[in-house]
Amino acid sequence: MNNSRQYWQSVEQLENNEEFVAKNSDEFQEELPLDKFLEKEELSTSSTSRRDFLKFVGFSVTAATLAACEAPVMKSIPYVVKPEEITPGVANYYASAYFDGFDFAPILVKTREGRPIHIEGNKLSKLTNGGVNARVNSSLLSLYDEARVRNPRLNGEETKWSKVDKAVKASLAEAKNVRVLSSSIASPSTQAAIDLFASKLGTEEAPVNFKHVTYDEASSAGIINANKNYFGKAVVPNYNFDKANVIVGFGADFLSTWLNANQYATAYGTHRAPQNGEMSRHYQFEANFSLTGTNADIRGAVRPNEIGLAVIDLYNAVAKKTGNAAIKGAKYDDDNNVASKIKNAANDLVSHKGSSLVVCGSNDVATQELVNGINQMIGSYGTTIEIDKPLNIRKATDTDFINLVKEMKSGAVDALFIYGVNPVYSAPADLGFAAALAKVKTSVSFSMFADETGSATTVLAPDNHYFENWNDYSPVAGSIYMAQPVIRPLFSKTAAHQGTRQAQESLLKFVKVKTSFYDFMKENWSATILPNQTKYSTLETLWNNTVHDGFADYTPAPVPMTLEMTIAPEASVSASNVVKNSKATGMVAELYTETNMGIGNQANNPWLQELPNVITKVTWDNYVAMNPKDCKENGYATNYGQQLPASLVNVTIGGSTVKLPVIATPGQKVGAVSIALGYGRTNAGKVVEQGDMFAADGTTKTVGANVFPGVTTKNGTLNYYAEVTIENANEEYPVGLAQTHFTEMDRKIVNETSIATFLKGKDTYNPDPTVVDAYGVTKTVDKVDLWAEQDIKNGHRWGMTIDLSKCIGCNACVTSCHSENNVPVVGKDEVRRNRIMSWLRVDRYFSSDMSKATAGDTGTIDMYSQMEVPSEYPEAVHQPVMCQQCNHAPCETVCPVAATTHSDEGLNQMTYNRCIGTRYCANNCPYKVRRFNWFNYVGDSKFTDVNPSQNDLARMVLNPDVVVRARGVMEKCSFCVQRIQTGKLDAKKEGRTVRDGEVESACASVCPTNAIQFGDLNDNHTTVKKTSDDERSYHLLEEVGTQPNVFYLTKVRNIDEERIPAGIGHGAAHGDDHGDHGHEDQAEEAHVDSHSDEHSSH
Amino acid sequence: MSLKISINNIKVHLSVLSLFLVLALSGYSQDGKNLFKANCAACHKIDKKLIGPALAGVEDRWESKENLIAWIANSGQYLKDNPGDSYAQDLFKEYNQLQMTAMPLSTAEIESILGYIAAPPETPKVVITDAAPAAAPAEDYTNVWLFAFTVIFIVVISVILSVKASLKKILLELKGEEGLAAIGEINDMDLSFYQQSVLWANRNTKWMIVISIFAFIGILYILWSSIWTIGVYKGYAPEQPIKFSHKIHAGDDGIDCVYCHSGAEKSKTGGIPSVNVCMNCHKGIESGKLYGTEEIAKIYDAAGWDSENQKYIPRNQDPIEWVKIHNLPDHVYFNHSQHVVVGQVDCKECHGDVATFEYPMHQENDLTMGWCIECHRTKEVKMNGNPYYDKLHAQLVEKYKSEGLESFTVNQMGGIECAKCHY
Repeated sequence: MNNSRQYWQSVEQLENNEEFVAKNSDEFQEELPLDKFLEKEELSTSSTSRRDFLKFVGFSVTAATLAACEAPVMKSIPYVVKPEEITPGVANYYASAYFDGFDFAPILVKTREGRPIHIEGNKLSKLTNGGVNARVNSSLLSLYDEARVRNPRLNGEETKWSKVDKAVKASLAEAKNVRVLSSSIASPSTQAAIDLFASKLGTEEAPVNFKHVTYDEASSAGIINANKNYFGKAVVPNYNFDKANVIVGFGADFLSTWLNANQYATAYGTHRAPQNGEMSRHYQFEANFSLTGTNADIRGAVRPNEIGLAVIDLYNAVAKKTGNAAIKGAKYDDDNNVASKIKNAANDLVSHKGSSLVVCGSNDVATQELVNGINQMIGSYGTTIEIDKPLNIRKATDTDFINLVKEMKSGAVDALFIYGVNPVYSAPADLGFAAALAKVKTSVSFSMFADETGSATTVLAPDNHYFENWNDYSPVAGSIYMAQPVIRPLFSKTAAHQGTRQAQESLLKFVKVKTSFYDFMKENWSATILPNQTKYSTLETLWNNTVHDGFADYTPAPVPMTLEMTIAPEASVSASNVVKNSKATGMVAELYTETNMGIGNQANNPWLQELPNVITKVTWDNYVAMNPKDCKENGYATNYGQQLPASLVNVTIGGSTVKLPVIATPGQKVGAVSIALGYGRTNAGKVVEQGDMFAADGTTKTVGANVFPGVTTKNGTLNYYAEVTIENANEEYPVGLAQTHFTEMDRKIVNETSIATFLKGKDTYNPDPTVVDAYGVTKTVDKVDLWAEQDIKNGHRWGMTIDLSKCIGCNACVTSCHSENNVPVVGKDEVRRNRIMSWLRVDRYFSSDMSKATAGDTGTIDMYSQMEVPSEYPEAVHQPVMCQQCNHAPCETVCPVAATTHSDEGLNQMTYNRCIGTRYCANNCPYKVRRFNWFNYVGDSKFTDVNPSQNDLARMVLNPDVVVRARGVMEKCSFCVQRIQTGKLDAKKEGRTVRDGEVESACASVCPTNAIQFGDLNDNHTTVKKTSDDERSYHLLEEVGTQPNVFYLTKVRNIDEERIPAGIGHGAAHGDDHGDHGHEDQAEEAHVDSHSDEHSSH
Repeated sequence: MSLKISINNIKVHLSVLSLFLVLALSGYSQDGKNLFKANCAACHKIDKKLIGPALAGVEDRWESKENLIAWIANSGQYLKDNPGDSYAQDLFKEYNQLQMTAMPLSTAEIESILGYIAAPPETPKVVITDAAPAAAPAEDYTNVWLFAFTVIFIVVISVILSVKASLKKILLELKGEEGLAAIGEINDMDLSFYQQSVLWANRNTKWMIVISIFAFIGILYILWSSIWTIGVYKGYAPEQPIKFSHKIHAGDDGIDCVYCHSGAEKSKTGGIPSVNVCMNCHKGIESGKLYGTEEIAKIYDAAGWDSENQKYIPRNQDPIEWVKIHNLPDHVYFNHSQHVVVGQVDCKECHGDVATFEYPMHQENDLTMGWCIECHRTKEVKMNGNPYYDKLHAQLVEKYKSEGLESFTVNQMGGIECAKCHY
């Protein structure tokens, strides 16, 4: 029976000719690229067959399975003699101080079993009130830096300390000219050590010419010289921002990098919220959009070379009001009403005489003289500026350094000791420092690293980390801070290495003084500090109390001032100098210090490299910040993302050319660009090799490019702006941005109002969002509920408030969180893929010219697309966002394995060992605060050089109370639950209730302005309860109904105009763009209705 | 630094002093041995230098017994009264000018001590035995009965089988193979046991199916129950570098747990005592009940203690690598002080009656999450007297009003929430 049918796959098969049969006899018809595969030599010689391979696989899987059943034998090794103060498992805190030539901060170091794991601010200190910026709290990681030098080096060879000492002593015996080059020395004992060093040099027959040259990589010589001319005191004065009700800043980023920024940020924060009495009004005139600029109430963009002209403008306006003589100025490029803003500033300054302050970041002496003039007219001296309380962390006058390099070039310097600075990296190209250094017979660097300078000197005498040293600092006259060792030197002398040695001790050893610096310091204290203070009668009590508190008050012996009080220089002379100096044609570049990297001495710190820039949110790079308008004119990309690269340009400043990406930065002055210093480090370690840029040699990879060579010397001071030529390199460059969206799209995300509107009451600036329920009744959002109420009324309910008026967006909270919670660093490539792991991010939004209120006839689509575009000179706001710990958490309801659940204390708990990685929770989170572990960051080779938790040394930085998360699990902010548990336990053990402020999240504890408050919302006496009840408080995306335990406080700008916050007056704020539109429309109507009702009832 | 040292010195003095006070008050007997133990033994040995000199022959070294008695009663006073006694002055200097605490002893008492020193009874020889922990009394006899029944069952079966085999043999001899076939049997007597079994299995397929099903279920059951023991190390009792017996220290000597494991009241870990804690007692106790000097010598090695010269040699110090017994699973936070201080949980409740445990120490409980949770579900929190709980207690009473509860379990106050232990 022929009932089977035959089908053919092709005509060829039907024909079944010879060719077809031959072709089909092989399984693969195409030629396999076997040759290419087998080309590898090891394959042809290998005797492993496929069967063998399968056997191996089978065996190893079985073996691994069986091995997993075996209990690992864990050793427990107690101390032989347990130190009295250590209890394993309990943290110790030591008061210390940080100073690296740039930042100063009193700190508390948390140690566990003798190893430092976290830095917080010292809350006892009145100077900073416990605020520490990101650079300071990240400095912890440098202790565990693999790149630290462990042996001294002589002519590039690692050797013994004794040989180094011998060599240096020998060269000192012959030297005629000896120089010490250092950053500003704020330490009285270090200064004494240098003085002792100098006094021991030479003999009576052959005296040695010695000079101590101070060089600040971020120079303030302009201020110092201006004060010298003005008052006869070559000092940076103490600025009291807390006493200023009107602040005018000219290019001074005093909240993040200018002078003693930690001190200023804290002081500034005291007057930024309306509940703390009169709010200060802050004007800022600058070229680049700085962190300080974003916080200003009124900001004007001015070309960097024309800052001086703007100062003249203000001088004249103030002079006119106060009846002083005007001076001759010049016109400057004013495309954003700077002139009228300056007039208003002058009015405010004069009307707040005695409580106003003008600061200027320019390094031009003439400009600073005019600023002094303004300050004198408005009565700042003695109130907001204390000239007799000098700031000791900036002393360099630049001319000394310039002269030193000249001397070195002439070959006159026989021995040079370099401490705390990296001039080979940072000196201006026109000085030619590297070439000059080569002419010095004996050069000694005390760097911890074989950095640019450390590898160029004849001797490298590696210093200890500041955690391993005794030291003292007097940052502002009248105070003494102590730095104490919190760990034994990690690299002390062992069989493996010679170890490090404190620079001061090395210096003294070179002149045969054999005391330890600890003893030397005590002697110095007994001679100089003890007699100048009144509180303690013996050195013992003074010392012990300072070790405990971290600081003491003392009045230093007055510095003898040789100059008499000179008369202020002729203002008109200064003005004409200013006008002369301001001339520049074409594009001008400002070279600024940036919040993350500062002067670049911590470039090998991955926490800081991955910290997003405060304005552009760029990580792992510096860039040319250019106004979007200029970008568009020149054809550079203005939007960035995973698939959207930036444009590369060749930037030529002062003769040296670097290649950098252009990042469109709204607010940047049109016609000027800004480039951050501190990048492009080489010889710093493995982290700086993770970048996508190349050093001058073209092969060494660097993070960003070094623009320090573009700094010029002008009129005897270092000048941080220069004319620049920018050429399109016609190349694309991937950038890693932590935030790719610019604006709020007219939604109530950062609720922002003006003081004028604020005074009209909550209903005007912060109405509760309403919805219509199923029965058509309009209710506030919290009254409409699908879910049963959470049981959070009993016991604690942990909550947080973030005052957006006080938040300056400094990122200190971000790094503090990283350090506390073992958050992994992922590297630029992963940041670019939106996989940054920060539990806490600071969102930045620019204002846009378009809003629903101003839309008019613009069509809806046009309106929304224009809303995405920031203004040319926008205002900017910052908003820290972490897990909002919602009481109705959208994440909890979608987890299939109940790995994220709610606690009785209001916490949204994340249980890593239950998580199976579906990522449903992250998708359902409206705040995008959940982070997924895409990789095994602690083991994957991709992250070896960026993640501190990979090598044995840096692993010590991990907090042992927090789990290091594995691949494939979700993680997020836990409200520092380990701190909550510890705080509760301490209270229980001591039989008392939890005190307010006792339990603090890591972010709240470092906040310089106390913008973040943390505590128990169920306790009526806590600060957080009071702030959460404030009329300014609201929830982020409140209308979604998530009922968070995080509250934001409306930002109030101190401006006179009315400002109805976004989304108000045009219907309820739209949290969810993808929501049901019909429903939303209803809500809008209802809302408007209820609003009018409320008004009529008033 | 020096301040710290002086504080330390004061502390040492105070603790020595208090030790004496305690000892002085504890025993008051005319018996020289008891008096010696109560008053002198903390610092003196008869044949060996300790904190103070060895006392054997002390009467010969002193010029007069009266002086010696005065010296013992109050050495400070004696030194003041007799500045000319060079022997006493030198002795004082030799021992770092550490004064012997004045003893509230009568002359008669001192004399009886001296009498004991002059003729101490022979020290009993230390018997070195292998520590064989006594088998725990079997209170549950189920297993014994099961075993007995199984043995009886096997005996009965084998008897029946052998009877059957004999009968078969007889039948074969009487009637040949046909005879066997007639009753459904075959001649398999020359075959091996294996062949016999196969033959039997082939002929009894129904039985085989039943047996297979039982075997399959049995294997599954064994696998299932063994899976649950992965990672559970109840009874884990590894060899330790020193054969330390908790029974002797915590049981016989009655040393409080937290004397050595002081972390239990302060920290998350109970902690293994550092060697200097061992040395507090073992400076004087050189020989143990079970192993003589062998094991205690290991402490001296670790501490760098030169028992000949009674001093530490820091460079010889080498920590003891104990094998950790109680290993919590990863990703869990446990705090001893929470349970010991706040919860007032007795050490025994988790660690068992350690005072009866011989070497090697073992893990008494599962330490699994289920084991933790079970306790958290049932254990009532001791809220009374701790002001931390005052407000919470009132709130909980209100919350559980309908059930009329006055005391609450850990669970009822949120004690089994994830983030209480996992973060």
